[in-house]
Amino acid sequence: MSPADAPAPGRGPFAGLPGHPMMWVLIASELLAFGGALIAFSGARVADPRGFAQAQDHLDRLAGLLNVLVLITSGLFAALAVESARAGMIARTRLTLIVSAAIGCLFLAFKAREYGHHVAQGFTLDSGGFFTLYYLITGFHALHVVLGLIILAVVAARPSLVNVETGVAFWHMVDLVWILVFPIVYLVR
Amino acid sequence: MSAARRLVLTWFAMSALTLAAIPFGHAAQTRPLGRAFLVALLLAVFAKAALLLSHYLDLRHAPSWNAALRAAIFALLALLGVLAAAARLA
Repeated sequence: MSPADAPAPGRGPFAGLPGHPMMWVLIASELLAFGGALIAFSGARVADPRGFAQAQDHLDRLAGLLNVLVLITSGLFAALAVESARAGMIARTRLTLIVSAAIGCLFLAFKAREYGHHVAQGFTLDSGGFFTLYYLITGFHALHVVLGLIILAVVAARPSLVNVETGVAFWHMVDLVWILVFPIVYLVR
Repeated sequence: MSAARRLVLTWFAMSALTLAAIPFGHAAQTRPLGRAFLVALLLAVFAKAALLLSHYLDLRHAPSWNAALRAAIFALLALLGVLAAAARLA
Protein backbone atom coordinates (compact mmCIF):
# COMPACT_ATOMS: atom_id res chain seq x y z
CA MET A 1 0.00 0.00 0.00
CA SER A 2 1.45 3.38 -0.97
CA PRO A 3 1.31 6.26 1.54
CA ALA A 4 -1.42 7.86 -0.57
CA ASP A 5 -3.54 4.73 -0.21
CA ALA A 6 -3.17 4.52 3.56
CA PRO A 7 -6.26 5.25 5.63
CA ALA A 8 -6.41 8.65 7.27
CA PRO A 9 -5.43 8.31 10.93
CA GLY A 10 -7.40 9.61 13.91
CA ARG A 11 -10.90 9.55 12.44
CA GLY A 12 -12.35 6.85 14.68
CA PRO A 13 -15.03 4.79 12.94
CA PHE A 14 -14.57 6.80 9.73
CA ALA A 15 -10.92 5.75 9.35
CA GLY A 16 -10.23 4.49 5.84
CA LEU A 17 -13.17 6.30 4.25
CA PRO A 18 -12.10 8.76 1.54
CA GLY A 19 -13.10 12.40 1.97
CA HIS A 20 -14.75 14.27 4.83
CA PRO A 21 -16.60 12.05 7.36
CA MET A 22 -19.76 14.21 7.22
CA MET A 23 -20.11 13.37 3.53
CA TRP A 24 -20.44 9.72 4.55
CA VAL A 25 -23.22 10.59 6.99
CA LEU A 26 -24.97 12.33 4.08
CA ILE A 27 -24.33 9.38 1.75
CA ALA A 28 -25.76 6.92 4.29
CA SER A 29 -28.87 9.05 4.77
CA GLU A 30 -29.36 9.43 1.00
CA LEU A 31 -29.04 5.68 0.46
CA LEU A 32 -31.64 5.11 3.19
CA ALA A 33 -34.00 7.63 1.54
CA PHE A 34 -33.68 6.11 -1.93
CA GLY A 35 -33.85 2.57 -0.52
CA GLY A 36 -37.12 3.49 1.21
CA ALA A 37 -38.45 5.01 -2.00
CA LEU A 38 -37.64 1.86 -3.99
CA ILE A 39 -39.33 -0.31 -1.33
CA ALA A 40 -42.41 1.96 -1.53
CA PHE A 41 -42.36 1.68 -5.35
CA SER A 42 -42.11 -2.13 -5.23
CA GLY A 43 -44.80 -2.31 -2.53
CA ALA A 44 -47.17 -0.22 -4.65
CA ARG A 45 -46.51 -2.59 -7.57
CA VAL A 46 -47.76 -5.51 -5.46
CA ALA A 47 -51.06 -3.64 -5.06
CA ASP A 48 -51.42 -2.91 -8.80
CA PRO A 49 -49.12 -5.18 -10.86
CA ARG A 50 -51.11 -4.86 -14.09
CA GLY A 51 -51.32 -1.06 -13.93
CA PHE A 52 -47.60 -0.80 -13.19
CA ALA A 53 -46.70 -3.16 -16.07
CA GLN A 54 -48.83 -1.17 -18.53
CA ALA A 55 -47.34 2.14 -17.38
CA GLN A 56 -43.80 0.70 -17.44
CA ASP A 57 -44.24 -0.14 -21.14
CA HIS A 58 -44.19 3.62 -21.84
CA LEU A 59 -40.71 4.05 -20.37
CA ASP A 60 -37.72 4.27 -22.67
CA ARG A 61 -35.48 1.40 -21.52
CA LEU A 62 -32.72 2.44 -23.91
CA ALA A 63 -32.60 5.93 -22.38
CA GLY A 64 -32.43 4.42 -18.90
CA LEU A 65 -29.66 2.06 -20.00
CA LEU A 66 -27.71 4.87 -21.67
CA ASN A 67 -27.95 6.87 -18.46
CA VAL A 68 -26.44 3.98 -16.47
CA LEU A 69 -23.53 3.90 -18.93
CA VAL A 70 -23.24 7.70 -18.79
CA LEU A 71 -22.96 7.72 -14.99
CA ILE A 72 -20.59 4.74 -14.90
CA THR A 73 -18.33 6.50 -17.43
CA SER A 74 -18.55 9.80 -15.56
CA GLY A 75 -17.71 7.91 -12.38
CA LEU A 76 -14.61 6.47 -14.03
CA PHE A 77 -13.25 9.96 -14.71
CA ALA A 78 -14.20 11.06 -11.19
CA ALA A 79 -12.26 8.10 -9.73
CA LEU A 80 -9.31 8.95 -12.00
CA ALA A 81 -9.47 12.52 -10.64
CA VAL A 82 -8.99 11.15 -7.11
CA GLU A 83 -5.93 9.18 -8.26
CA SER A 84 -4.53 12.32 -9.93
CA ALA A 85 -5.14 14.35 -6.77
CA ARG A 86 -3.33 11.71 -4.70
CA ALA A 87 -0.40 11.94 -7.12
CA GLY A 88 -0.41 15.74 -6.77
CA MET A 89 -1.23 16.34 -10.45
CA ILE A 90 -3.48 19.40 -10.09
CA ALA A 91 -4.03 20.13 -13.80
CA ARG A 92 -4.92 16.51 -14.53
CA THR A 93 -7.25 16.43 -11.51
CA ARG A 94 -9.09 19.49 -12.81
CA LEU A 95 -9.29 18.08 -16.34
CA THR A 96 -10.70 14.71 -15.26
CA LEU A 97 -13.23 16.43 -12.96
CA ILE A 98 -14.39 18.65 -15.83
CA VAL A 99 -14.68 15.64 -18.18
CA SER A 100 -16.61 13.77 -15.47
CA ALA A 101 -19.03 16.70 -15.04
CA ALA A 102 -19.44 17.15 -18.80
CA ILE A 103 -20.40 13.49 -19.20
CA GLY A 104 -22.72 13.87 -16.20
CA CYS A 105 -24.53 16.67 -18.05
CA LEU A 106 -25.50 14.08 -20.67
CA PHE A 107 -27.51 12.29 -17.99
CA LEU A 108 -29.66 15.39 -17.48
CA ALA A 109 -30.06 15.83 -21.25
CA PHE A 110 -31.30 12.23 -21.69
CA LYS A 111 -33.56 12.57 -18.65
CA ALA A 112 -35.05 15.86 -19.87
CA ARG A 113 -35.74 14.28 -23.28
CA GLU A 114 -37.41 11.33 -21.57
CA TYR A 115 -39.58 13.59 -19.39
CA GLY A 116 -40.52 15.59 -22.49
CA HIS A 117 -41.75 12.44 -24.24
CA HIS A 118 -43.79 11.38 -21.20
CA VAL A 119 -45.44 14.77 -20.85
CA ALA A 120 -46.18 14.86 -24.60
CA GLN A 121 -47.89 11.48 -24.20
CA GLY A 122 -49.94 12.89 -21.33
CA PHE A 123 -48.14 11.11 -18.49
CA THR A 124 -47.69 13.54 -15.60
CA LEU A 125 -47.41 13.32 -11.80
CA ASP A 126 -51.17 12.73 -11.65
CA SER A 127 -51.20 9.81 -14.12
CA GLY A 128 -51.57 7.03 -11.56
CA GLY A 129 -49.36 5.43 -8.92
CA PHE A 130 -46.59 4.32 -11.25
CA PHE A 131 -45.92 7.70 -12.79
CA THR A 132 -46.29 9.55 -9.48
CA LEU A 133 -43.58 7.38 -7.92
CA TYR A 134 -41.53 7.36 -11.15
CA TYR A 135 -41.39 11.16 -11.26
CA LEU A 136 -40.70 11.45 -7.53
CA ILE A 137 -37.85 8.92 -7.51
CA THR A 138 -36.19 9.92 -10.79
CA GLY A 139 -36.82 13.64 -10.20
CA PHE A 140 -35.26 13.47 -6.73
CA HIS A 141 -32.31 11.63 -8.25
CA ALA A 142 -31.99 14.21 -11.05
CA LEU A 143 -31.81 16.93 -8.38
CA HIS A 144 -28.91 15.03 -6.83
CA VAL A 145 -27.22 14.90 -10.24
CA VAL A 146 -27.52 18.70 -10.48
CA LEU A 147 -26.12 19.07 -6.96
CA GLY A 148 -23.32 16.63 -7.81
CA LEU A 149 -22.38 18.63 -10.91
CA ILE A 150 -22.20 21.80 -8.82
CA ILE A 151 -20.01 20.02 -6.26
CA LEU A 152 -17.70 18.71 -9.00
CA ALA A 153 -17.36 22.25 -10.39
CA VAL A 154 -16.55 23.68 -6.96
CA VAL A 155 -14.04 20.90 -6.30
CA ALA A 156 -12.40 21.47 -9.71
CA ALA A 157 -11.85 25.07 -8.66
CA ARG A 158 -10.32 24.03 -5.30
CA PRO A 159 -8.81 20.59 -5.94
CA SER A 160 -7.26 19.72 -2.57
CA LEU A 161 -7.17 15.97 -1.92
CA VAL A 162 -9.87 16.05 0.78
CA ASN A 163 -12.12 18.23 -1.42
CA VAL A 164 -11.72 15.92 -4.41
CA GLU A 165 -12.31 12.76 -2.36
CA THR A 166 -15.38 14.30 -0.68
CA GLY A 167 -16.96 15.64 -3.86
CA VAL A 168 -16.26 12.49 -5.84
CA ALA A 169 -17.73 10.31 -3.05
CA PHE A 170 -21.02 12.22 -3.44
CA TRP A 171 -20.89 11.75 -7.22
CA HIS A 172 -20.36 7.99 -6.83
CA MET A 173 -23.35 7.87 -4.47
CA VAL A 174 -25.46 9.45 -7.25
CA ASP A 175 -24.11 6.78 -9.62
CA LEU A 176 -24.86 3.97 -7.14
CA VAL A 177 -28.44 5.14 -6.65
CA TRP A 178 -29.14 5.10 -10.40
CA ILE A 179 -27.62 1.59 -10.64
CA LEU A 180 -30.34 0.53 -8.17
CA VAL A 181 -33.17 2.65 -9.60
CA PHE A 182 -32.79 1.63 -13.26
CA PRO A 183 -33.56 -2.11 -12.98
CA ILE A 184 -36.30 -1.71 -10.37
CA VAL A 185 -38.20 1.05 -12.18
CA TYR A 186 -37.47 0.20 -15.83
CA LEU A 187 -36.96 -3.57 -15.98
CA VAL A 188 -38.45 -5.53 -13.10
CA ARG A 189 -42.14 -6.31 -13.25
CA MET B 1 -1.62 -3.17 -11.65
CA SER B 2 -1.81 0.62 -11.85
CA ALA B 3 -4.79 2.44 -10.34
CA ALA B 4 -5.88 3.75 -13.75
CA ARG B 5 -5.80 0.26 -15.28
CA ARG B 6 -7.75 -1.16 -12.33
CA LEU B 7 -10.41 1.57 -12.70
CA VAL B 8 -10.74 1.05 -16.46
CA LEU B 9 -11.16 -2.71 -15.95
CA THR B 10 -13.83 -1.93 -13.33
CA TRP B 11 -15.58 0.30 -15.88
CA PHE B 12 -15.51 -2.51 -18.48
CA ALA B 13 -16.98 -5.00 -16.00
CA MET B 14 -19.72 -2.59 -14.88
CA SER B 15 -20.60 -1.71 -18.49
CA ALA B 16 -20.84 -5.41 -19.41
CA LEU B 17 -23.12 -6.07 -16.42
CA THR B 18 -25.27 -3.08 -17.45
CA LEU B 19 -25.67 -4.35 -21.01
CA ALA B 20 -26.52 -7.80 -19.63
CA ALA B 21 -29.37 -6.25 -17.64
CA ILE B 22 -31.48 -5.63 -20.76
CA PRO B 23 -31.92 -9.30 -21.83
CA PHE B 24 -32.29 -10.23 -18.14
CA GLY B 25 -35.07 -7.68 -17.81
CA HIS B 26 -36.86 -8.89 -20.92
CA ALA B 27 -36.53 -12.52 -19.88
CA ALA B 28 -37.84 -11.70 -16.42
CA GLN B 29 -41.16 -10.85 -18.06
CA THR B 30 -41.64 -14.36 -19.46
CA ARG B 31 -42.55 -17.54 -17.64
CA PRO B 32 -41.47 -20.03 -16.39
CA LEU B 33 -37.86 -18.76 -16.58
CA GLY B 34 -38.86 -15.35 -15.29
CA ARG B 35 -38.02 -15.89 -11.64
CA ALA B 36 -34.54 -17.27 -12.37
CA PHE B 37 -33.78 -14.35 -14.66
CA LEU B 38 -35.10 -11.90 -12.05
CA VAL B 39 -32.59 -13.34 -9.58
CA ALA B 40 -29.84 -13.10 -12.21
CA LEU B 41 -30.75 -9.46 -12.89
CA LEU B 42 -30.63 -8.56 -9.20
CA LEU B 43 -27.32 -10.42 -8.74
CA ALA B 44 -25.87 -8.45 -11.67
CA VAL B 45 -27.02 -5.22 -10.02
CA PHE B 46 -25.42 -6.32 -6.74
CA ALA B 47 -22.15 -7.16 -8.52
CA LYS B 48 -22.13 -3.71 -10.11
CA ALA B 49 -22.80 -2.00 -6.78
CA ALA B 50 -20.03 -4.06 -5.13
CA LEU B 51 -17.55 -3.04 -7.85
CA LEU B 52 -18.49 0.61 -7.43
CA LEU B 53 -18.06 0.45 -3.65
CA SER B 54 -14.71 -1.32 -3.78
CA HIS B 55 -13.02 0.44 -6.69
CA TYR B 56 -14.77 3.73 -7.56
CA LEU B 57 -15.50 4.65 -3.93
CA ASP B 58 -12.24 2.96 -2.91
CA LEU B 59 -13.68 1.19 0.14
CA ARG B 60 -11.10 -1.58 -0.27
CA HIS B 61 -9.20 0.28 2.45
CA ALA B 62 -12.22 0.39 4.78
CA PRO B 63 -13.26 -3.30 4.74
CA SER B 64 -15.81 -3.04 7.55
CA TRP B 65 -17.62 -0.16 5.79
CA ASN B 66 -17.37 -1.98 2.49
CA ALA B 67 -18.90 -5.13 4.00
CA ALA B 68 -21.64 -3.18 5.80
CA LEU B 69 -22.69 -1.28 2.68
CA ARG B 70 -22.59 -4.45 0.56
CA ALA B 71 -24.75 -6.24 3.13
CA ALA B 72 -27.24 -3.35 3.19
CA ILE B 73 -27.50 -3.30 -0.61
CA PHE B 74 -27.83 -7.08 -0.75
CA ALA B 75 -30.64 -6.95 1.83
CA LEU B 76 -32.37 -4.16 -0.09
CA LEU B 77 -32.16 -6.05 -3.40
CA ALA B 78 -33.39 -9.25 -1.71
CA LEU B 79 -36.42 -7.39 -0.34
CA LEU B 80 -37.10 -5.78 -3.72
CA GLY B 81 -36.84 -9.22 -5.34
CA VAL B 82 -39.35 -10.67 -2.88
CA LEU B 83 -41.74 -7.77 -3.58
CA ALA B 84 -41.34 -8.29 -7.34
CA ALA B 85 -42.13 -11.99 -6.90
CA ALA B 86 -45.16 -11.08 -4.77
CA ALA B 87 -46.39 -8.72 -7.50
CA ARG B 88 -46.33 -11.61 -9.97
CA LEU B 89 -48.45 -13.73 -7.67
CA ALA B 90 -50.93 -10.93 -7.02
